[in-house]
Amino acid sequence: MNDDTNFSVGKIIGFHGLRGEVKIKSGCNNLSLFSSLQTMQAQIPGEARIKLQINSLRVDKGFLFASFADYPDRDSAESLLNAELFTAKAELEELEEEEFWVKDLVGVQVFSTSGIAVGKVIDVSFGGNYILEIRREEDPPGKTILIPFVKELVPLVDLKGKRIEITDLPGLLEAQ
Amino acid sequence: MSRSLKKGPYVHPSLSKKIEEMNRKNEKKVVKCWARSSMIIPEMIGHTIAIYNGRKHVPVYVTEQMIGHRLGEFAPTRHFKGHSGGDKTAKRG
Repeated sequence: MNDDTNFSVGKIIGFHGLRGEVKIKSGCNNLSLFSSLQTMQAQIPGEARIKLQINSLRVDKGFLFASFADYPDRDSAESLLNAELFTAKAELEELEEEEFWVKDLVGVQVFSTSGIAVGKVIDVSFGGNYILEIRREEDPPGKTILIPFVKELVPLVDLKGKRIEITDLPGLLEAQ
Repeated sequence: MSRSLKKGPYVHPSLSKKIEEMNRKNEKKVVKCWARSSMIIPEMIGHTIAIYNGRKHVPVYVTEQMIGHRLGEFAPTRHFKGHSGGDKTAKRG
């Protein structure tokens, strides 16, 4: 489970080379957020959680590769296989401008720019742009509205006020 | 073999007609489109095209970087949500 002090970095799924570098599969889509990490916590199945000091951390082909201070070679690093890695959310890099956590967007109320309530965000998917999936109360189960997450169509994202505004583009709500 | 340059990019005639008309009237509305093989041309920039993915129309806001690609590339026909439960980020374009 992810919270601010228990943010999941990923799982150790393999190794690279003989110098103790481990291969980590992360569930996060923006791996550059981890680039400034100094420490992580590892939860090896059936064992207590341990703290790891990071020596190096790099991103390659959608995976993280890290080496840790107390694991200088592959033999010692192999004890970490299948470990789940966690960190504090405060240790991550800042999100870029206009970048949001999907879980912060989910549940936010959506209004049109003329003030009419549309529905709630239930998910964010990716096509050509990021796409907000919005559920209207009056719609049958399973039916959602898709809105491209671009400034021109979503001019206001106010997470503190729990409000997102979309433009009244003809056909946008009826297209699906 | 690639398409002859003489012909220009392929855009479905009805889509091309709708885009031209909107540009002439200087208006914006969502255009529904089934022609996934149509190429994105500069005239489409700034328009929102709802591309059919076999199940529903996925609205895509056309940007400059999409020129030369086919419409279908931006409306995936299969949806893999992934195994891992990590937190994701979304960037407003």
